Amino acid sequence: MPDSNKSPEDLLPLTHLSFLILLALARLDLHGYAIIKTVQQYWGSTFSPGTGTFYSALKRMKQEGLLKEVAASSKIPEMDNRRRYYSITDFGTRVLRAEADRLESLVSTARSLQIIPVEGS
Amino acid sequence: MRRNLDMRRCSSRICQLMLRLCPPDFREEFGNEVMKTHLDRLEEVWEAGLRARTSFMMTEAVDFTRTAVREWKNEFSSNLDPKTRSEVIDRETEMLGNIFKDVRYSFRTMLRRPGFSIVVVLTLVIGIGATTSVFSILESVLLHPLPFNEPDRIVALRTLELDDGSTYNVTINDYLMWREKDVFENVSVFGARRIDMTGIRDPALVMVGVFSDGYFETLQLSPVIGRLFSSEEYFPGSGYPILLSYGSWQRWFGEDPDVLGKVVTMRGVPRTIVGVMPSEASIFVQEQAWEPLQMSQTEPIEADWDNHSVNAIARLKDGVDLNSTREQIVTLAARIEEMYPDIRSGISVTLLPLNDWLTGAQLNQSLWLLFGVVGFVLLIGCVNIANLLMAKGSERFKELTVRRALGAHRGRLIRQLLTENCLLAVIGGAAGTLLSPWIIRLIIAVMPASVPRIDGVGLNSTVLGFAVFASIASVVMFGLAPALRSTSRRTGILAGSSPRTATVGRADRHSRNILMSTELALSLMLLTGAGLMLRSLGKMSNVEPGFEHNHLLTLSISLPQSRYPSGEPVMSFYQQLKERAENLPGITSATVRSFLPLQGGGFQLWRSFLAEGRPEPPAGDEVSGVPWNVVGVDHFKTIGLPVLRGRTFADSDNADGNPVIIVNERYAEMMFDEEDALGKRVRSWRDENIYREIVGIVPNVRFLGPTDQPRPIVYVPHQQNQWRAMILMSRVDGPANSAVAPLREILRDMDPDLPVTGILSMEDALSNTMSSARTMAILLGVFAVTALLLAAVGIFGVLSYVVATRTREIGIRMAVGANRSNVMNLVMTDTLKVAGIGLVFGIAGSQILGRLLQSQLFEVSPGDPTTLIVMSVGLVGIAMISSYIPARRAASVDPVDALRQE
Repeated sequence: MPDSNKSPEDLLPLTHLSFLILLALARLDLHGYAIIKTVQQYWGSTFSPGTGTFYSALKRMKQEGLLKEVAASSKIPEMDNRRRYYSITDFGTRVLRAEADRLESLVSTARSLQIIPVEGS
Repeated sequence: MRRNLDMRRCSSRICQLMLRLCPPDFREEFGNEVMKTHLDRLEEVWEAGLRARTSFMMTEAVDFTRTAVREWKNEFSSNLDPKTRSEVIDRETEMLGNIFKDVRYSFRTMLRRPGFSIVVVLTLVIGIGATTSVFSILESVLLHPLPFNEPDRIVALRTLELDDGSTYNVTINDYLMWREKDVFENVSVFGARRIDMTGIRDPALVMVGVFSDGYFETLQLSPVIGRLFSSEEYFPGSGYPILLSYGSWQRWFGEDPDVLGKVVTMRGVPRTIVGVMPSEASIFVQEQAWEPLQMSQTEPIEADWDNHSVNAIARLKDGVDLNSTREQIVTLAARIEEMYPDIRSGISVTLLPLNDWLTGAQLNQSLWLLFGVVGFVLLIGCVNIANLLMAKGSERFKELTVRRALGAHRGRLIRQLLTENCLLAVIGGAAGTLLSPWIIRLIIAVMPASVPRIDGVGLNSTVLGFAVFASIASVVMFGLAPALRSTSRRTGILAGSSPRTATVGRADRHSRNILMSTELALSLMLLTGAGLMLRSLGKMSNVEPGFEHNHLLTLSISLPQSRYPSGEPVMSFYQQLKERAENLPGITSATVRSFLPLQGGGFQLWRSFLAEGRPEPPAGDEVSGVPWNVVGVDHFKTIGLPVLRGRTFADSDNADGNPVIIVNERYAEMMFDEEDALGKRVRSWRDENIYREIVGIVPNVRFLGPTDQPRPIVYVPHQQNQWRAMILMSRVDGPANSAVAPLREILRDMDPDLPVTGILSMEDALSNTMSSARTMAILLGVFAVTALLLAAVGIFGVLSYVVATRTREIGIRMAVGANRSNVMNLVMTDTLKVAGIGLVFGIAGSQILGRLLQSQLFEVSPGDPTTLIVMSVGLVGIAMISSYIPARRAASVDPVDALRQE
């Protein structure tokens, strides 16, 4: 169980894999394989973590309170009863947001240093 | 397609095994999910081609290993305080570092001598691959517990003939008695038969198990869906329920959960599906459905105490062992013997563990024997490697001496050498294990298909455990002695001298000779065993079954009662079938028969006979156990069996005609001795019980196969026994199977709903009867030749080394006058001595092996001198050939060079 006093910033920076998993779960509850597929939609098919590493990450993230397992519900489209579904927790959403902010500020820095073009220019 | 499935199965098996490396908590929580995701992803890369698949599988394997390490580390460190944790990690790191160093060094050593490494690894691949493969078959067929709850408590019950120890089915009466006396927790009788079924996707002949109350209770299996039969349903008149097997549920109904209550038709009678059993239930004859054995009797019927018609299984009471239960049923059987001495004299009952009954004594023995044989192959391989390592140890003499002189501990050096050996064993063992699925497939391909549980053979954790054990055992067998020897104290004393000058000590030479003799003895044993089986198989193949079995095609037909209710439609169907078959261009004659010779199938009845005018038993003179064959017109012409005396069946031998019978010579002799049997009348006492006149006498045939002794056989006309289930036999001009398609066409035209099964040529039937002998001959042959090759390579290697170490000695001998042929003789005589000793022990050993094979030999004695002589001469020949090159090398030593070397 996560430490209730923990703030999202304690977990930053997130590993690349954790960030992508949280991103995939931001809209929908998914099972493991569906998470991988969703990340591949965002990232491209080169995203291909080892199955063992992937579940190892899920386990750790569950322990950190970023996500939780959810019972089958009608909210999930094309529900497969035989699989286990994961859902992002409130804490997880906050961590995701904090990490996204952190990344965004890094991207802004890159922009201000004119490494990438400024939006709209 | 099948290959793809195999590869997928293989991959999922690997995934499962790798998962086992992870801590239990992780496995419990994520195991299933990991498997499913892995398989989904595999499915996805499958289409992308072999390269993508292989790369994915390898990446996954590496990733699983890393996951396992990471998870264990987490598991471990979560329970420790930070200080101890860092100490433990330090210690681990140092140890790992040392091991890593050793492994790296070993790798370099290995790569420096590629020839040596390849020979060792290949030897191990063969040895470990073969042993692991045979073990996995043994494990699946014999050792793996049956898939039932407490399988040790399930037994099979068999009638026991006290004279010869043979066993067969039990009677319903015995069953009722056991039940009444409450001997078992559950007991049940059962059987199986092929029944035509419609109302499923295609009409088919379906294997239907039939059992009495308590069957699935004995096995402790519950339906996947639905229910078992209720106790009323075991009595006639309470409906017709059936249970489906899991496979039938999948195939016919696509696992539809609403299958319960659906109706199918069996033998024209509608049956209601009440449940679906799990796949473990179809263990006896691959049953596809079950129906209750409906019995009106609840008490033994006096006349049926010798009607041994059913199989029986039982579950022992909790806490009661097999032997005391056996005593109990033997006492009961003795009481029955007293009560009915005329029919039960000399007959008792026995029980045995269910799996022993399923596999049978012969298969059991064959598998253990094969396991022993491959064990020998591995042993010979290890002896070879030990020899090579000893030789190599001497070559590395200087390196080890210097390292000791520089202060290396002996333990450290031994660890180094053992690491090298372990590395070889790991590579050889892993490659052997990876190879074993293919070896298993080859072995299964030559094994009879009837071996139970052969489908389940594969790599599981027990088999992998065994492979690891075999590899470690190999290292200990071949690696330890050389490692100890080459680091012994002597090494220090001889420091500075060259190994070439150190002539091989007497003890060394002794140990090497013993190793070589052992190899030769083991090889001779295996060769003789294989030779005996081959000779026996040769003799079997030369036996003629007694009729013209070539170009004879058979095809089973079972007419359903609903559409063929009485004799008239049945007979006209078969009459028409015969005519239409004979009109086909390739078919010269056709007939029908109820039960095929050479175990080709059909409905089997064995009856007792009594001649007219003789009193009934006990004072009677009956002949029992006679196969009752119902045959059509032209039967003897079609199978090519001449009628010796009298006549064959004619159209006039019909239901209105005089009851007639044709018998074979053996029957006539047993029934009537010297008297003429023709024209005499006999009856199948207690069954049909009408007198039939013997109208013809035909020659004996080998009814059950080449090893069967002539037995009494009778033939009765189909018109007087109008059976629905018959086998069409056709004599074909060309290859038997060329007639399959046109015959099927005719049958489809005559009755499209008719299931046709059992398409078999009599040549194949004959070949099937020899399949277990052939399997043993092939497998023993292959393993024996492998053993021989390994032994030959071993002798060659050892002698080459011995000659190299004796160069100086040989040089001196030549300097003082020995010529080339003297030197060659010297080496060859040594080999001959070794071979002689090997021969003596090998001959003794092959007597033992022959004895073990005895029950499978046909017209060959276990100590067959021809086999023994041929194999011994061959073996000595091979030994001499392998020593020839080293001997020539010795003879070409230049004495001046040899002496100048020091």
